[in-house]
Amino acid sequence: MNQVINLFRNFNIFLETDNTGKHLLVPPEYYKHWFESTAEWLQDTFDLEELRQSSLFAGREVILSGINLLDAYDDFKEIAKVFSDNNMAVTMQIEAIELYNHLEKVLDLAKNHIITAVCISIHKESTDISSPELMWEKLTETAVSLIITGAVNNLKTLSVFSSPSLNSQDIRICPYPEEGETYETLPENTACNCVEHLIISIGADGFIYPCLGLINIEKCAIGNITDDKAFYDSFIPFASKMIEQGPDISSSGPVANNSELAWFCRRHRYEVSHNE
Amino acid sequence: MNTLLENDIIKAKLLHDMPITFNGLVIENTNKCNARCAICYQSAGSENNNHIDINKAKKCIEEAITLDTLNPRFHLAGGEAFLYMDDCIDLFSTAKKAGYKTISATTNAFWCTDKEKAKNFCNILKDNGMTYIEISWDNWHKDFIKPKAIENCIMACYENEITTNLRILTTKSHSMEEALNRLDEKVIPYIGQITSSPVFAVGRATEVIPGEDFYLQRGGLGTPCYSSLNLTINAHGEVYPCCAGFDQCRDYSLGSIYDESIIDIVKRTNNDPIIRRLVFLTPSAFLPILKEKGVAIEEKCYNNCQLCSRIFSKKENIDIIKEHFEKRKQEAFLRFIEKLEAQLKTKKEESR
Repeated sequence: MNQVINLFRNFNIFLETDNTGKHLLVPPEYYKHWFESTAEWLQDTFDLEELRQSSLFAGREVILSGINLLDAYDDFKEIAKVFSDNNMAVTMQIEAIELYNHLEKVLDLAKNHIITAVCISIHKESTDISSPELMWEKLTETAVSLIITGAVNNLKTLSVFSSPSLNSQDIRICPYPEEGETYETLPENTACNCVEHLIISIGADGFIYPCLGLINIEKCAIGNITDDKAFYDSFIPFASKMIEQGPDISSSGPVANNSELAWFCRRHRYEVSHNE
Repeated sequence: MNTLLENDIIKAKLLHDMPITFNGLVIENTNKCNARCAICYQSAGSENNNHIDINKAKKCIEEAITLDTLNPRFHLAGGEAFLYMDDCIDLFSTAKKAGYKTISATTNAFWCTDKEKAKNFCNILKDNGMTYIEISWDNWHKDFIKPKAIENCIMACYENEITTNLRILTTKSHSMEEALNRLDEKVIPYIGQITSSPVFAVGRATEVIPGEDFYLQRGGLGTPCYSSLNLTINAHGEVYPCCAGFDQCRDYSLGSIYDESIIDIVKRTNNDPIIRRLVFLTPSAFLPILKEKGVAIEEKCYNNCQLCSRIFSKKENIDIIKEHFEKRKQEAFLRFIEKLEAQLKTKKEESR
């Protein structure tokens, strides 16, 4: 049961701006309400000793992602504070070019301990940044944790491997092939339990999913944060099965290479999306 | 953001109530290594000869997973763990049968000089449960390991869906770029992730690397480590709460798997005031205790792991800390006795 409780330890939240571009699609107060009602459900469903053993009181993380989020800076900051005020580490996922254009806002969030990590994606559009070392230097001065992802050539263009600032601290880099899809088949011997990959993920419209791989596939949603209360009771048997056995997936055929997901996540998503 | 008072309340709650939890079980099956890298925090080399009893290690794997406070992850490290290939497979297989969900190892990939053999062996590893591998590669490994072995390991793991982490250590003179430039650039996209850290100024590194070449003082002394602990058994069978340096501080082991069960050791650790203070309040919490006895930790530390290592690698520091906590225990006991006596006296007076 600890492993099921641990699903609620960390969250992956996607955010999107509304038509005005100045506010987020789902207002911050819904996230606050959802977080509080989820905490209540956990306390009602599991005993205190179980919750303690699962480290649910400490060492938690939330990842906030989206495009142009810093245009809705006030809303974004308010949502980040829902989690940082409850002692969760907040990781901000951002495109390198957006980071560069809004660096002062990100530095402000980092210096005030509202975010503790920044995950930076470097796509081709980001490689026009003229002075990346200055950006790396200012970021590393805040001691915020850094994760950088991107195609190898893009990483090299922004001096990720050679930057004295990035070399001076702990850093995680996820290198990808050149942008574009490649196809691959499943390996013969498969080990695919979901335990390392299950994380409550919330789409930009507020729908809640059991993992990143199923996000935005509405039939896989287990609820919505704009609803009145948490509703996870039916989620527990599904989660237990995923943890122990992994998803029901077929054993052959090509699947697109989305490097951010484990292969069986890609396969599961592909099959769920294409099945009635 | 929490106020200072709220932070103190949180710290007190953690210190008194939170169980010590572990992200996984780490076994260092040997401290022998076929390399002798300058940056090795263990100062491992071919002259070391400790090799853990395989049956004791397997028993620990089977027992440890029953702990509520352990995440079901198993990691094998060394020295160079793969010097004992058959043992590795046996331990992975045991971990898989016991129900560990993530099974991994750290290696310098010396066993991958032949591409086909590397692929076949990774297939065996995968069959026996391995899901993740950490490959050590940097300026100091290059003197002992061929780049081709690293490339073959990366590709063999990719073809067997074993996730790879290329682990690089850096100094001001030796960067990630330098390490990666030694590899065929075509294999780099197949690496799952690259993790890079500055070299710790401990052990052999301080003898070989000039002081000014280390990256130092980058903050990070404020964050406690309770959420990143690993239940670690070193090559001597000694148990520690982490594998980031404390596992080499032999004057403060939590116990030995040759003398008692891992379950009993962990239960005792959860109540150990020194370990609780270390993981919930950071190693800085011991500095005033040491300072009171005239011991100052002068050198600047890059992070908590380095500070912890600096404190606990010296027996005299440990003796001071133990004496401090023993004294506090005695004082607490005396206060308790005084309180009982006062209560007894009050009751007697009330009954007259």
